Amino acid sequence: MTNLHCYKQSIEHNKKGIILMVISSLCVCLGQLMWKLGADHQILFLLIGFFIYGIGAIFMVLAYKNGSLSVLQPLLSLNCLFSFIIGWCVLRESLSPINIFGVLAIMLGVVLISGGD
Amino acid sequence: MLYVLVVLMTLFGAVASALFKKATGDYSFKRLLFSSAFILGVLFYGLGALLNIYLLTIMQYSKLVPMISLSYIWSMVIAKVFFKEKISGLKISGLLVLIIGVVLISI
Repeated sequence: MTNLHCYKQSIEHNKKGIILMVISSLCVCLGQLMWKLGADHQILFLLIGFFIYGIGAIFMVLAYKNGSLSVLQPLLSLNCLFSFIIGWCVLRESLSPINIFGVLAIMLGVVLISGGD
Repeated sequence: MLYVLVVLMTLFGAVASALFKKATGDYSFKRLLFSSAFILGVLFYGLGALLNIYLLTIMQYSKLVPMISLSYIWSMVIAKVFFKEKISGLKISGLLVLIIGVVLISI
């Protein structure tokens, strides 16, 4: 009972930071998407990518001011999730089941590394 | 060769982060911008970004972006070697799982 209460309190406390991290992760993946689209020498896309990436970095800094490391750092694994969704929906890229398992493993690895402090 | 570049890209990113960390620790904001650590950090960051853009031209986006997580491994190594931080067993198991994930993605 108390564990659930502590967990809920933790989410409440870090809510702002969590939302900021999610936005940051989205920006990073969108920035990479712009770079992918601009890869055939479309400088405009590359510049937009840098800009969005920069915004993502700012949001990450803001996130760390609004939440504790132990809650926010595992959220870095969201990059893997968003990149899969964006790759699938926007770029029509497909991953084999083994690849998808690899993505899940990377996400788990990031969570474990974040939790190891 | 491709994955050597991925390793280099993530390594440069981790080195840049470490340099920025060192720069912010040592200097006031004004001196920071001109400190060798900051300038080197920008250099490594730029090289990493260029490698990143190049790799996106020859690799699948949904494969490359998760691989960027390799930089956490380099950050761990740098933290241990240069900042004398302790690495817990949990972090090491995370490292191994991450490497397995990267290998599985590249198949």
